This record gives sequence, C-alpha cells and structure tokens, in this order.
Amino acid sequence: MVRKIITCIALIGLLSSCEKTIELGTLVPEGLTIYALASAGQPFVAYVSHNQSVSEAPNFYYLDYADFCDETKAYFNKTLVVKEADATLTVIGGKSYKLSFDASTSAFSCEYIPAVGDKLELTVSAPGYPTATSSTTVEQPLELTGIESIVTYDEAATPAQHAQARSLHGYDPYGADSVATITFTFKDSARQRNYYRLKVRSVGEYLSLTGTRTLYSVSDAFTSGNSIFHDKQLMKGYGEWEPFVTNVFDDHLFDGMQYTATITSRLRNEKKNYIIIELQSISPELYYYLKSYQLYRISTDDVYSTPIGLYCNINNGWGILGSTSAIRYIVK
Amino acid sequence: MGRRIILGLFFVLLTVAKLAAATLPDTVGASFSHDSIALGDVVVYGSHINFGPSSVQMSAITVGKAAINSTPVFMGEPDVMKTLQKFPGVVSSNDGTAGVFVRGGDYDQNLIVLDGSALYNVEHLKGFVSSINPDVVESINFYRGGFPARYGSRLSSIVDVGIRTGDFDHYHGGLSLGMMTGRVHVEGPLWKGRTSFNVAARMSYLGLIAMPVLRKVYDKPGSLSPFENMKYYDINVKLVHRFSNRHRLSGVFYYGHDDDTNSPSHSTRNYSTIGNRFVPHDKQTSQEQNRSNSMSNCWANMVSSLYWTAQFGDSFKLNTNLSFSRYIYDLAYDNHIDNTVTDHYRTYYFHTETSHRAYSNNVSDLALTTDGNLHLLGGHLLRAGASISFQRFSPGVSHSMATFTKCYNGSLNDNTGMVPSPMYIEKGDTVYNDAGNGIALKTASVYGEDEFRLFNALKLNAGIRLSVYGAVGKSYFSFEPRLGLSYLFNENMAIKLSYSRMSQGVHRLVSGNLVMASDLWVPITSEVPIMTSNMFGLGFCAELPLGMTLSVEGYYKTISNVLDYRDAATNMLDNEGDWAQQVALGKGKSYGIEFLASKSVGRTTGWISYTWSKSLRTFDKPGQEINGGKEFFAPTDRRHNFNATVTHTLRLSGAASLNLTAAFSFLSGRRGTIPLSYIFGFGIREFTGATAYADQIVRDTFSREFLEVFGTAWGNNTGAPLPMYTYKNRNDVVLPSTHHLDLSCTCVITSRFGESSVGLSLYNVYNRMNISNVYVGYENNKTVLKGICPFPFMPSIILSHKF
Repeated sequence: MVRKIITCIALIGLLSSCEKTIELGTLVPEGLTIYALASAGQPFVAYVSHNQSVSEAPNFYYLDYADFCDETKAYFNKTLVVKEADATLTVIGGKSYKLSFDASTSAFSCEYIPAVGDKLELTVSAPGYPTATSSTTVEQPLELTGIESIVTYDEAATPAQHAQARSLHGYDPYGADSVATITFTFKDSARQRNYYRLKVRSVGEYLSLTGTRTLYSVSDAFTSGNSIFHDKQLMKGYGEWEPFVTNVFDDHLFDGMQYTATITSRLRNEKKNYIIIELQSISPELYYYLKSYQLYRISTDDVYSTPIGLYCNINNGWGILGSTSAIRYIVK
Repeated sequence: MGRRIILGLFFVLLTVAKLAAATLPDTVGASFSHDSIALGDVVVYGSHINFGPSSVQMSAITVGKAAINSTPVFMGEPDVMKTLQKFPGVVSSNDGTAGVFVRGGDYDQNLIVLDGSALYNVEHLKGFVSSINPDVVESINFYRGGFPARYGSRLSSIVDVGIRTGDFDHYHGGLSLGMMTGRVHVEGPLWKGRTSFNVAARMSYLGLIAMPVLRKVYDKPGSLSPFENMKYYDINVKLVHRFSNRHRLSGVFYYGHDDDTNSPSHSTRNYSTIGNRFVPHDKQTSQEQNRSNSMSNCWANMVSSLYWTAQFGDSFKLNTNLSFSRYIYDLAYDNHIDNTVTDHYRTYYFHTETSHRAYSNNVSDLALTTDGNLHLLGGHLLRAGASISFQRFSPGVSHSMATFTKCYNGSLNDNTGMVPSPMYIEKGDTVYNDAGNGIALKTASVYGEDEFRLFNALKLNAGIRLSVYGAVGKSYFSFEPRLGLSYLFNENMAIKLSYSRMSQGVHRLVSGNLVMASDLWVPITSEVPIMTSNMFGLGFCAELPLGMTLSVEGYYKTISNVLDYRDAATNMLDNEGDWAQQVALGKGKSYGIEFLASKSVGRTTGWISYTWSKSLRTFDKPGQEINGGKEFFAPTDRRHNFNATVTHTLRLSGAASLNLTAAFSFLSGRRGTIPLSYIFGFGIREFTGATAYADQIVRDTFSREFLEVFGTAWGNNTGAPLPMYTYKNRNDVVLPSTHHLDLSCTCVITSRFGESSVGLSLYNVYNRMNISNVYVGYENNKTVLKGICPFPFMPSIILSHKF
C-alpha cells in the first residue's frame, strides 16, 4: 500500500511542472495584413501580406542597417506577400474593381482613381485566411488661404564653414542656412470631427560638383508653436522632428472655426528651393494609425512600457485602409 | 499631549451625546432591525446581518468564521479574501491570490476596512495569503452593490471586517501550524468584566517546509529558489474597555510586513550560419542572445483606530472613530539582455543592456468619522454621519539603464592578418528619478439615510451622501443619491431593486503589461478628477426549506474618469514628466448576472455560485485616445466564474467530528496586453537631408501618393515595409482559464484541554497547470510566451489547538 502511494505521488511529481509554453496560435489568429490608401486623384494601391506570431517571426541578424532593409524586403516579397489574394474595391453606389498584382512593386492596384466623397469598401480573400474587409471615405480637402512665407537667415555655421562644405560635398551639410516661416489659414467644418495631416516638404536644388546633374535635398520636418501640432505623448524626437511635435492632428481645439497656423521649415540652400504644402484631410482610421505609428517609431523597446497597438481597421485581418485628399500649394 | 487630546475629545463627545439623548422625546420607540444593536453588547463593525428577503439590502452577504475556516484554500490556510472569491461577482486578480475584482471594478475600487480603518493592500506573499487574520475576525459584511449612504469613497465594494472583541471574563487562545504559516492567538480580560484584549500574530516559513516539498515536485526546481525568500509576518491587537453596557472605548492595531523576490526567467536563443553554404562566407556568423529578469517586492501595512461606541436609551447609537493607516510599497524589476555575434575568427560584436526599474508607494491616511443610528416610531431607522480625512500620497518611479557595446572595427570575417584598429566601445547610462513628492488629498463627507416600510410588503432605504474632495489646486463635489427597494411576496421571498452613485478620490494605476506588471496609488489632482459610478441592481431572493437560500441578481454599472496608462507609457525617457503625463481619462461599464444557492443548516452545508459578466473600457477623449478610441475589454473582465463548495460534518463520537469539504472553482483567464502579432507594415515616409533617392522622391511627390504616406523612414524610394510587433485591441490576450478541485478533511477533537484539530488539505487535486503570470522567453530558438504555474497539486497538513 505504501509503495502504491509513493508511486502515485512520484507520478504526480513527474507530471508537475512550474512552467508552461503557451501556444500562440490560439492567442494570435492568422490573418491577412493589408496596407491600402485611397488618395483623391491617385491610383488606388494596396499591399497584401499575412501576419505571423512572434514564435514564427524570423531572426534578422545584421550589423549594418542597410543589410537589414534588404533582408526584410526580400523576406516580405518572398514569404509574406500573398500574391494569389483576390482583392476587390467597391465604390458604394458605383462599380466594383478587381485589383491586380504587380510583381515589380509587390502591390495590388486597379485603374480606379478615388475622388472626394467616395465611400469605398475593400474585400480581400485568399486561401487559408479569413476574408478581410474594410471601408473608408475620401474626405473633403480644405483650402488654405493667406499663405505667406518669410525667409530668414539662420546661422548654423560660419560662412567659411558653409563655403568649405559646399566645395567639398557639393551641398551644405550644416543643414538649412535659411529658415522659412510660413503662415496660412483654413476653416474647419463644424459638421463632424475632422482629421488632418500637414505635409510641409522643403526641397532644395543644387548642382553636383561636376555640374552635370541636379541633386535635391528634401526635408519633411517642421516646427511650430501652435498647440494643434503639440502631442505630449511624443516625448522623444525622431529624425529632424523635435519632441512633442506632430503633423497629424484633429479639430477638437478649433472645431468649426477658422484657424491660422504658423510653421517653420528649414531650407536647404538659399537659392532654388521651394516648399510643398498640403493640408491633407485624412480618414479617422488613418489618423489613429499615423498617431500610433508616430508613437511606435520613438518607442524605446522597453520591456516595462505599456505596449503600443498599431491601429487597425481591417476586419479579420491586420493593417490599415486609409484615405487622404489635399490641395497642393507650392511656396517659393 | 496626545493622550490629553484623545481624552479631551472623548469627554466632549460624551457630553454632546448625553445632551442629544436628553432632548429625545420619551415616546421614541425601539424597533430594532436585524442589523442594529444587541442590547447589552454593542457591536459596531462587521456585525452579523441577515441580508435575506426581509432585508432591503441587496448585493451583500455576511461571511462568518465558520465559512472562512471550512473553505479549503491554498495550503489549507483559512483565508478571508479567498473565501469571498467563492461568492458571485468576485474574482481573484490572479489564480491563487487574495486580491479581488468585484463586478468588473479594479482593485483600488474595493474599500477594505478593519474596524473602520482602511487597509490598502490585502495581500501577503504576493497574494498567496490575505492580510486579514481569520483568528481575529468576528464577521465580515461584504457589499458589492446597493451601497447604503453610510458607505462611500470606493466604487465597487465594501469589505467591512469586524475584529472580534476579546472575552471579558475568560482566557482563550490557539496555536496553528501549517505548511506555510504559523499562527498564535490569545484573548482574555485585562480587567475582568471591564477591559479585554485580543492579540493574534502570524509568521510565514515558506522556505522551511513548503519549498522543499515543491522542489521535489517541480520539474524546474531551480526557478523556485527566489520563492524561498518570500516571507511575511503580521500582528493584530484589539483592546476594549467597557465603561458600561452602553459605552465602550476600543483600540485596534494591525501591522503586516512582506518581503518577496521572484526570478521567473532566464532563456537563451542561438542562431548560426557558420558553414551554411547558402550564406556567403563573409556574412556567416553565430549569434547568441540571453535574456533574464528578476523582481523584488516588499510592502508594509499599518492600521490603527480608536473608537468610542455609545448607546443612549433604546434607540440611539453613536460611534466615533479616529483612525490612521499607513502603506509603504516598493517594487523593483531588473532586466538583462546580452547579444554576442561571433564570426569565423573572433567575437565580432557584443552588446549588453541592464536596466533597473523601481516603483514606490507611500500612503498615509488619517480620518475622523462619526455615525449615528436612531430608531423612530413608525419603523424609521435613521442613520446619519460625517467624516473627514487627510491623505498623503508619494508615488515614485526611478530607473537606470546601462548599456555596453564592443565591436571590432574591421570587417566581418576579415582574416587578412592585419591588426585592426582598436575596438569600438561604447557605454551608456541613463538615470531617472521621480522622487514622488507627497500629494495631499482632503476629503469630507456627510450622509443621511432612512430605512422604513412604505406599506406592509414594500421596504425602502433612501439616502444621500455629499462628498467634497480637496485636491491640490482644485476641489471636487459629489452628490450621491442611494436607493434600495424590496418587495416581499411573502416572508420568504422578495424582489429587490437598488441604485447607488459612488465617488472615489484615489486611483491605483496598474499597467496592463502582462510581463512586467506594476502599480502606483495616486490621488486626484487638478487634472485628474474624481472617479464616479452609477450602479443599478435588480434581484430576487428566496429562503427555501431546509435552510436553503436562492438569489439571482443582475447589475449594470457605469464608471466615469477611470484612469489607464497610455500606449508607450514609460519612465525611460528624459521628458516623460510625472505619472499624470502618462495616463488618459476614460469611462467604463460592466454588467452581469449572478446566481447563488446556499445551504447553511444541517450537517451538509455549502453554496454554488455562478457569474456571467462583462467589463469594458472606452478612452475616446480627443488627445487622450487609447485603442483608437474604440471600446475594449477591461483587464478585470473575466467572463465566467463558477464556484461550488460543500462541507459535510460527521460525528465520530461524542468528542470528535470530521469535517469534509470539497470546493471546485472555474474562472475565465486573465486579460492583458502583449504584442504577439508580427506584421510587415509601412511607416510614414518622411525625409530629412540629402539622399541618393531624393530625385525619385521629388518625382514621387507629384505622382505616387501611396509612397508619400506609407513607406520606410529611410528614404528608400521603393517603400519597403518594416517588421513590427503589434496587437489588435488592448487586453485582447486572454490566458487559459483556471480551474481546480480542492479537498480538505479536518478532524476535530474536543477535550478538557480545549479543541484540537488536524487538517489535511489537497489543493488542485487533478494537478491542473493554472497559469498565474507570463513572461517572454526563448524555446528552440524561437520567441515564446511562457506561463508560470506556481500551484500544482499540493497536499498540506495543518495542526491547530484552541483553548
């Protein structure tokens, strides 16, 4: 009897454990990952791939970030892109368009060009994955009025340093030697909550050392003291973006009102530069996605942090279907 | 000086009460309801109340000592909070732990009072044992809804624990030795008939008995070593002086201290392309990654109160309580990651990162409360009272991170024989401290309630509570109506309805990070307003033959100004500011239906309870959105909760009896947030500076809008996607459900020396591996989620003697 009891306890002992590996298949459903943008006046484009759980995620080992980019791109194209997906874009109240796969870009596209006011539904299916659906509406863009630009000279280096750099590199690596302060006005619609992304791209042209080729320097970052461009979650800068500055905002601070904004953009070279300004009206989903991505790219990969969820509006899938529309202004 | 103040206060209150009593008309009748006073013995807190059909109160239970002692729980130790978890609407925060979530509310929404003084942390040993010593418990009244006006300052529950008064005439005591804890208890008269004492103390010795047993059982005994350092002790003291049968002064003191450490993980991942013919020779490497983390935790609770209870005439009772509580908590995490890359000839690259994060809580709470009961003719029971409290909070976070990187300056797999230039070495240190300067909060409340019969079958309790919260820079007012209604079909059956609005001036911030959980107690501020809730309840209860009762209740609760950490909330950046910058304000709702059937008479007793519930959160204030403003499940959401407990008493002989108990629990898994999905997505394509692709970018600016918005941030003109870890909705990770069957058998022998008992308890009889915590580790060179299951099948013996 005693032997039986000891055997029983030993068996229980063999079966007992203090750790258990959790099968992630039950926690992370497989699905299609869709990145699609409906931009007024531009062909509709969508990337279709599939997700993986962290257990399946490959190990990209690299010491050079350029190698990392090449490896990830190759992995994406070879392993994750779902080339056989059946993707259909439907314009509510209009026609449906089948998207076709382009191997050179690994993207799906169709000939339909979204227009302002379009309500679009995207349906993507592929063998072995649940059918993913999403919808978006192309919002009305806003006009900018009273655009004024004042350029001031910002001494980032001595004139001798500027001259030396130009002769050595063909361009000025000290950054902008001039700063454009641009003011513009727009009026928000009071009918609903509106979302925007302000694109301010400064482009500088200069000739290469040999004088045979035109090169460009491009910068999308700007600064501003306006509260609409302030996001207290962005506690760290990114690239040339300063901390707490964002170009993605909604209208809760100026709902239905006229608003005058002032931004500052650094220019490359004093001569032959121009600034492209677009106040993009974006869909709510794209707003939340861009906000989450701006947070994601500055995250410290800190195990103590609250994890970031990249906003997703794909039913039964991952990714984002967003829309933008804008009126483009070029300031010289 | 302090003694003079207390004595002076006492005499002033006594004089006021006598004057009040003298003005009452002689015709005041004495119609005591079940929850009032037993003449000759004034019981104030945790008094035994019948919440059955005859009571207007719904969503409440009284738990007596017998139920606590007979419910089999972890290691056979009777436990107050774990007994409460067996009742509907209450779930444990984690399998096997004492913390509770009530009707979808968070842990900080429970007010746990020991004889009127607040207890901030109800757990010992990471929740294995609750802070409330069952040896000193008289009875517990547990309210999870339908709160009468006399209760406030928390949204979800009131756990009113009455500490037992020592015997005024005889000495009693007891000693109990279990696998984990030893308890000793003594009570008796200091001045026979006038002054009594009741003292109880506990101490753990986990490393002495339980851990050696568990080491033999677990397949990875090494990971248990930090648990051996877990220990606690606590002491309860109650002194009562009876001036007369109608006046008494009571003093209560509690102190508990815990030390915990936990080192749940160490794992390694290896990957090598050395010798792989498909990889170019100059790119072949071998890589090893090691990851480990550990945690240390200690906290202490101190609760003290001095209260005077007086009864004037047959109808008026007054209780005045001066209390002071203190809670100190320290939690620290240490995380280490190292990464080594080796090529054919040398260690090419080495990087190590060591981080330390510490949280501290320091809460002080001083309160003065007075409550009065008055019975009037016509069956009215009037209650009124006031309270004022001063609280001070000092939440603090500090962190440090040290990094070290060493890399060869030469090319990978370069063996040309040339000596490369000195290795590149980089060190980094960041240190951050938020000292958590004390934040003060003042609260004042007044309330009044009336309980009476409208007509024979309809009983009503209507009340109002007004609260004022004084935060730094701002005051908040709360108007809180309360209503309880019961309709008696007959003396054994009633339908009940309730509404209560509650407010709360403190929050406990808990991160939803399942891997590295943390909490901080913080008060309201000028930017963080009071939390409020509205709760509606509808229920039916019946008393059936053979001592059985049945109740069915539904509830719906809304919460405003609930706090949660924003995405990416961290204290590892320099600009992060204090905790208020890391949180967002939102709202919540929870609803559910609860069933309870119980039998409390006879040799076989027990209960069955089931709760179906949902708890949701929405953070959609502009600029404070979480989860894109979409509704998501609260971390307290546990869909199903089923409990069944049966106790049977066998009489063996005149002096011996055998108590057999079986208890089964099923609880839906915990929720949390871990980014487990790996997708290739696009970031925002923005540029800075000159780039070889700039001309393409400029052309794209005018033609390819998609690449304008979605693309890499590195100027790659083809817009290659990047791998990203993400999740769909906050708290959408649900751990596996937990369930276990527990059996216990206690033999009780009564002799002239007292009552001795030997208890055998079998916890988790079928050895279900219930996951308590998780961490991210490596297995077979893959990143996996590992669950820690600290409570397998556990037999235990407990020896007790009472005299």
